[in-house]
Amino acid sequence: MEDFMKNMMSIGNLGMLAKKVGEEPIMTLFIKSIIRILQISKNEVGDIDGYVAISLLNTMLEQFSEKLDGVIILFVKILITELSNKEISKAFRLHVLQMVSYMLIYNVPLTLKTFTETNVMTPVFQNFFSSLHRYSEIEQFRNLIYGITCLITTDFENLPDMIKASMPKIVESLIKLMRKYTQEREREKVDEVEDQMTALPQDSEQRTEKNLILEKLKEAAINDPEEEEAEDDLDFKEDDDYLWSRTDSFYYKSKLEQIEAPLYFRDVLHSMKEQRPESYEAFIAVFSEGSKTVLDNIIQRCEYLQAFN
Amino acid sequence: MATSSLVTTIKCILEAVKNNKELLIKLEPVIFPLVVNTLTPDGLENLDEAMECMTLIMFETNDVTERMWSLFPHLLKVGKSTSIIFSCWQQR
Repeated sequence: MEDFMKNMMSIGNLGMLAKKVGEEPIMTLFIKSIIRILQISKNEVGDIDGYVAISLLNTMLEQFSEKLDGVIILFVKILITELSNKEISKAFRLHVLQMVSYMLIYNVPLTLKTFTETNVMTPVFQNFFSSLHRYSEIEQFRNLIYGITCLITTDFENLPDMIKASMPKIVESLIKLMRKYTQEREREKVDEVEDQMTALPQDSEQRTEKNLILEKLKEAAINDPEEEEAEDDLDFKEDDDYLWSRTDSFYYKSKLEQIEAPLYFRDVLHSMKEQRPESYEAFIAVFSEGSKTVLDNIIQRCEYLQAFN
Repeated sequence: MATSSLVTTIKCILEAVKNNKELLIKLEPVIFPLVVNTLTPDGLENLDEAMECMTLIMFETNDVTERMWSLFPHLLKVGKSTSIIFSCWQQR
């Protein structure tokens, strides 16, 4: 069901924007349905309906570039309503917070303007940044890397004070996310290559090639040990009785999957260097020498992974 | 139960021929009445699997036909007016 809706947005984009049911545009009806789902599901901890509803909103933000400016306030209201609900589980709260990232990917200045106008900038970003270490899935890492990259690079000089003040920590968190993303992608690739190898004869040339790939991927993993997890610093509801995990989404491809997320960051930095050299210099000054080394290592590994895509 | 097996079988067939775009286009109108049936109270328990069939066709043909669009408002109306559709999601 979820993938069906997502593909209607992805493949049938024009239809979603132009078609009507009676007098009502289909997209308005769609948003109303999602709000209805959230109203119905909000009192049930761990209810899957709310997860799907938020996923669909995120897909709208991802797919309808520049077409949601007039309704972005609705997204902020939904975000605040859900985050203000003390009954929601911590897993659902994390899921809702991902919407912040999708809103940043959609349009940074508009999102910041709407947050300011509704007076929610500080609580939203405090929740958002203090939760980053709690995510664990590739899709989540990918979305967060894209969102934070958009936030800190779009208009670096004019960022809100609270973001500017936390910039070194934000950069550090971003690098951690990129590192986790790369590790997970490498693990995923190792599994995939091992699966492919089972079907190949022992002494075939293809098998030798796959072995080389495996060695390289495993070597990268050995040279990059796990970091210690940060302390949980948020007051979440603890009785998380149902942890929602996404379906395989085999029949839906996110636009964000086209390039390995850390390489998106690399490309943004390159274009920043060419088009806004002063901003680039100010931005890069936030990085410590150690961070730069880690980042270089991540980029190299992701370039290797991207070659398979 | 019989309908459930039928939808599962159709899904398997679609997966087996998913690389044949022309065949998928031809199959869409054939399975469409069954999908419409899953939007009624009698067929609702198979809605999710029927949607998976339509998703597969849409994804592999990279097209949303007019027939498919006709399905969309019905899904939204069911979702907007009752909680019945949500219980379907919960069964996954």
